[in-house]
Amino acid sequence: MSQLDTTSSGTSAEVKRWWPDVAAASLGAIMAMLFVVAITIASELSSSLMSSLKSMTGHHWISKGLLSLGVFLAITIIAHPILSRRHPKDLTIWGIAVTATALLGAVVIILFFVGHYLTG
Amino acid sequence: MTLLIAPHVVFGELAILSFLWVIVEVIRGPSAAGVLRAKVASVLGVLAIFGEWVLAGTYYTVDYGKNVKPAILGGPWPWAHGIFTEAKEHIYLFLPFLSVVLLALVWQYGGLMKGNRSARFMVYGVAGISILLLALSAIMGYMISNGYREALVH
Repeated sequence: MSQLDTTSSGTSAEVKRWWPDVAAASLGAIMAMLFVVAITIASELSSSLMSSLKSMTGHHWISKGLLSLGVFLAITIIAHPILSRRHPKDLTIWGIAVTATALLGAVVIILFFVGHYLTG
Repeated sequence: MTLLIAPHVVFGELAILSFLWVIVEVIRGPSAAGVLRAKVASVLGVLAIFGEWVLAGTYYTVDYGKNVKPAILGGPWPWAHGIFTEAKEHIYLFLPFLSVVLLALVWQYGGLMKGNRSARFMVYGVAGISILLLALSAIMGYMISNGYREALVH
């Protein structure tokens, strides 16, 4: 199993791995979740956008899933070589950012659909 | 196609158990064996989430829209679809990404967890919010099923 060695400066040496750098994956996840929230609300408010999503793959939900996966992969792959050099010891900011984005994103989606349903 | 409902629930429960397993291993201030178990659990979590995505997505796009949705919307609980299905199907899209973040975290910092509080807290945060969203999905699924049952009965 590969391990990271922490230097005195608080950064870790590069090791071979098959998994994405956690900071890159975190950034990708944050952007993908924000994209999901945005496209969910936008497609409910714009029938032309909803039609475009349906025509892409035959179902709007499949299109949203594939597009968000594309956002995640693109951001993660682009960020990986840049962020993997840093190996920060302190992950507090990333932990808060990913958790908060997921929690707030879920709250926004729920509140949007409650309001959308009540206002017809 | 309705037979896919049970497997998608099973995969969801497997994902919850996997993420919980990661938390338990990290809380115990993992030994080398504990880190290995956490890594295995994180991989199982990713597989469960992506498997559930395919199963649930197949059921949702092939059967639910054609047979279940019209019944719910025409029944006494139309909000079961309007609120719960709509929210659930979109919130679920967060989980594949959260599961990969958790995998990357455990595999990259596994050996450092014992001495790195921020890494442990990130595990609790990411795994914790994933478990919360999956539990929420289960509750919403229950409401959707009830909405369908009410429509069939009335």
